[in-house]
Amino acid sequence: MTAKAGMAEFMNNNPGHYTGIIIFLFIFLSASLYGFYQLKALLKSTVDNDVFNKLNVRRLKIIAFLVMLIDPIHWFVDLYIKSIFSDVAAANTISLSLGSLELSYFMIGLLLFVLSTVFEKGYEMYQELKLTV
Amino acid sequence: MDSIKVNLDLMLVKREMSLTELSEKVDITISNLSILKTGKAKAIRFSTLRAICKALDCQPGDILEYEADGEK
Repeated sequence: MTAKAGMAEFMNNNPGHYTGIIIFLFIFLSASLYGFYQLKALLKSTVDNDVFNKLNVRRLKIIAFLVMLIDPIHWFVDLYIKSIFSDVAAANTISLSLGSLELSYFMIGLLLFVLSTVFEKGYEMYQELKLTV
Repeated sequence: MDSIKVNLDLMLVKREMSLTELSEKVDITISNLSILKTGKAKAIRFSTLRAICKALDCQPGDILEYEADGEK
């Protein structure tokens, strides 16, 4: 006799997890779209040759913050999924191999944050240049 | 806060010269001269200062003045 642990069946039996995953996906997609919107605006300003402005500094900081959040969220989701399926895995002798906490996105986020401060300085210098007679 | 005061308007009155006339003489746009006159300028090039001094027949000290804390 074999036991089957289908995803749909499992989720139907655990509406709390189902709702949690849906809410998480909604937040994740919203944050991603917001990040891409900021990136699009940033790229548009570079095309328009108006890079050094206050808005772009803010945009870069937002993108840096969102990118820095990817790794902790990934780690949290891994833990969450592991906790959900730990019972099923034990019952069906499934080995769960989930990634440990990696910080590559966090480092990229930090670099973007540094870049935003460089941009801030660039903006100040540009303003000074504009007001040099 | 102490600051550098620009007395360009005073010198213009003394020399009976308009801003437009000065802008033509020193080859600087009126908007840039206005920035300088209103004290919004963050820096002034030596070449600009030299041209203004030449046009107004004055010294840099006649145009720029140091204002210490509390002074008006």
